[in-house]
Amino acid sequence: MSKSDLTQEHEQETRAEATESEGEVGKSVNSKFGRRLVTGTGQFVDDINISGQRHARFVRSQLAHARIVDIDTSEAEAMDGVELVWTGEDLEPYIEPYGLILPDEKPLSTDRARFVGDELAVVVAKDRLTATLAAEKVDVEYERLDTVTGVDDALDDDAPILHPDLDADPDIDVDGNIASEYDLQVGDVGGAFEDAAVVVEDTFETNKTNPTPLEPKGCVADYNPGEQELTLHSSNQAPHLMKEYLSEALADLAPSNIVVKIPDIGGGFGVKIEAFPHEVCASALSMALGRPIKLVLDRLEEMQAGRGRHDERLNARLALDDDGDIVGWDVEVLQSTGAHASFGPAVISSAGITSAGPYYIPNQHIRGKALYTNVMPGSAVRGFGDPQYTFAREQLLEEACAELGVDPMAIRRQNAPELEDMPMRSPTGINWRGADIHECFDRVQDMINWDDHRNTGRTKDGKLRGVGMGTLMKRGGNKKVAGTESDAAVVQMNKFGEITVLIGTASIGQGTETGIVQIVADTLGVTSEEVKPIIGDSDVTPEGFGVWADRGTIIGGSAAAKAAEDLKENLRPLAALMLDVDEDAVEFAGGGVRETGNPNNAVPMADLAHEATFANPEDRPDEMKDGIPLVGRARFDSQEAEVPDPKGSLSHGYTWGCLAVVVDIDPTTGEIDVVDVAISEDVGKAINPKMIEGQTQGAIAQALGEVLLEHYDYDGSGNLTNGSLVDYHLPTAKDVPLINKIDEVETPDPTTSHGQKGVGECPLVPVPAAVANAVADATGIRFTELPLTPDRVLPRLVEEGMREL
Amino acid sequence: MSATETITIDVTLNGRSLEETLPARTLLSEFLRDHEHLTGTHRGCETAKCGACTVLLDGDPVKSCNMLAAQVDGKELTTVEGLMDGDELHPVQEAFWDEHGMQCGFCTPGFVVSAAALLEENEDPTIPEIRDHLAGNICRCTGYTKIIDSVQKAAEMQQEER
Repeated sequence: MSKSDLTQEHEQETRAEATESEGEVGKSVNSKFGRRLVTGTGQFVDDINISGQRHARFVRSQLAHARIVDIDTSEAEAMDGVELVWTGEDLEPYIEPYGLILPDEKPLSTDRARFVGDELAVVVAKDRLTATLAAEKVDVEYERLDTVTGVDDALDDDAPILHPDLDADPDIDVDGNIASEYDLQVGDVGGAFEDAAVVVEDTFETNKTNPTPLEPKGCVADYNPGEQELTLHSSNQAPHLMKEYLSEALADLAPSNIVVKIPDIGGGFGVKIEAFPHEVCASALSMALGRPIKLVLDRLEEMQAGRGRHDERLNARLALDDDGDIVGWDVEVLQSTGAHASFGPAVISSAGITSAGPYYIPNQHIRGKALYTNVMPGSAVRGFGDPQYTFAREQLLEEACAELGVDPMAIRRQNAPELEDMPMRSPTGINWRGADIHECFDRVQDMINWDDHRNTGRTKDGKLRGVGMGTLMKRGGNKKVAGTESDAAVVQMNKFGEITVLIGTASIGQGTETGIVQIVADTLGVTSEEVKPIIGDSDVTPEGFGVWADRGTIIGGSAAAKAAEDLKENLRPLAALMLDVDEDAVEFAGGGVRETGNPNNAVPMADLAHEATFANPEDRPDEMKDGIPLVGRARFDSQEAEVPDPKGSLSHGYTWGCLAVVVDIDPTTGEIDVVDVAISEDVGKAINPKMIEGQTQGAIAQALGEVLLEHYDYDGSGNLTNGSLVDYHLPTAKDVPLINKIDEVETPDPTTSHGQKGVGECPLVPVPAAVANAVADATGIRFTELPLTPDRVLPRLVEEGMREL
Repeated sequence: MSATETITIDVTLNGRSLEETLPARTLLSEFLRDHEHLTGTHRGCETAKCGACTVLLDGDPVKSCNMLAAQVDGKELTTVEGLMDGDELHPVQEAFWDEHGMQCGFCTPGFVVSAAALLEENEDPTIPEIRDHLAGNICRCTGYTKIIDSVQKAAEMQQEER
């Protein structure tokens, strides 16, 4: 298989570096934070208590849509230990309307409640229990309004409008309940469908789910009136972004007066990025009271208001010509965005650009509407719109192949570009480079024993067996509207030669900090044990965007590698002096510096550091007398990511791959058992294979929960009927298979420090499609609605005469 | 029961005997976290579903969010912090770290103490036995495969020690 010269050159460089540095990159290093986490000595937000703190608790709406007539706080205020009760009116002087994409949020609603769980008032008390009891005593008088619980309701001519002010505002593009509209058209879609040999179309309904990080969100806001500075300790994925978000939401507080500190985070998955009502409210309360305010949500609050994945309806069409080329992809997305837009419009558009997946489809039309509904707002969630598009695309592909009478795997291969075709632009402007999905197809089909399971019927115990495939071509590291996708890093050494890397990321468990440590260690020729990551403090770490969109290791890691190089160059003259060699004969290896190729002439890092910090500078040459910096700094600014208009290569890079599952369906109950999974992705370079496996296994299990078990069950009045973990069943160790068939391809990305690409979100993307395709292989029945629970499956088995008693 | 009623409990907590007078309504998880500063016992759901608050009561795993402190009077409690032997990690802790059986670490204390209890009863559990035993704990990060690997590794380590 031929590879581009650039790729080959990069591979050689990567290999050369690995030899020089004794290969910290590519090793399964243990988590840098693991010791404190396995001993229970980590510090999560609920473990933080600041002297003088008070506890806050929300009063939440009991109705999905209602005008607020009155909020009587007197009984709560009279309780012992209650400091104050605020409604939206009390909070008004401290805040501005805010929101990630549309200014449609206030931390406490003033005019109306828009979903069950909407924040209406907040209680501050001496302890959490008192605050909770007092919140129950706040009496809200409502005037019921009709509810909008789904996309059809939202678009109805007579639908109540959730945000009449925005609808009426000529400067904001909100129209009725349509929060945003998206339209991307490339090629000649009409012509393509007219001339096609086969056109398949279907309507797909995906489910509203909650990624449910096990740690509920929370914060401690601590305003210092003397300094006029707010310190927010929060379970949040993006410390530097939070400064901006909070300053937008809080009146009269500039970003320079905000410090964000991130403790250990008990999972994120995307729902801990934006500024939430608890963060804004606690901050305003701390400013008003001059006291630290702690506000940690409970699970019911997370289920009602913690935000999650959008349910979407996709009306989709796919066209193939006689030769099996996919010539047209036409999809309309109707997204139930919830009471606030949050990330919703971007979930349609960002994923829209890549919605054709790994296939070169010349004619595409992607349209979408984010619709306000009286349910919990959606947000960013691992996969960010891709699982929904993929669910539709991969099923339509198989339907079209069935009509044409061709093998869908052959059609997948035929329509996916080869490594030697790259670099190239996709029809929607995506910059495709250095990715080998064909190798992924081969490995997955081999691992899963594709041919043994495809079209084979039943297992020995009478289950209906099938195998199915899904693909991914996922964005990693997205261009911001402001125009950049970048992180900075500082690598420094103290007088003992101990190395720290400072970076604006956060650890939500994915291991980015450990990968970044490996990259720094690799560059400096030390072991990962000798490098400590410093993260999660907006005052201490250099500017960066945090952890989301699979950006941490590609953007932050590349910045850290550059910063480590910078430190090397700063140390090189002193190293040359101490080794008594030319600067170009200095090698960083073996835990210090040495003469290239001569381990006998070596100086440990500690001695080098000591010389730089304690030795008398008069003994050095003139150019080193005024001080030797023990610090390296760098910023990595993506030159690949573009601002789409509406075409364009939104992300720094793209991870390609595929996944297959084997399912057994019980014909007596309609239960689907996923008995085997195999996945292969082109990850560029596996910085830490063990952690990639962990991310991959976790993402797949999370997706299996979404496909087989989970969905938000709202009744017609907008009440959430399964808002506890008892009723909303998350997968346990008994519900998911062992996932060990993981075989990653490594075609390096020439634009990142070690060839690495995004990993964490990717494996989730193809799972719903693969399961549905496997079910179709087993039964011949196409399921287009998620989740695939027995109450959906069994009636269809009955209809098709496949039910057995 | 009035809000001010108190109880006095005698417990052995991580090997240390202590007597505490508490509001009678105090949950076991609150006692551990707020009174004893054993914050490795986490609150994930407060409905006894997720298992992040699992501790050992006379050696058996229980969910401390769903019990009153009053119920442990006269008993022996072990939390995740009590598994260490001085500076030495418990084999289960060591295995969870080495096998990457934890990611964010929030559920980890519950899994670790629950797994430690399993290995006390069954020194060489099968995969189905491990799954059964851990089905009361939820992990959102790992997908469980490496948790099961970790328990198997810990079992091997403990057998080698014996």
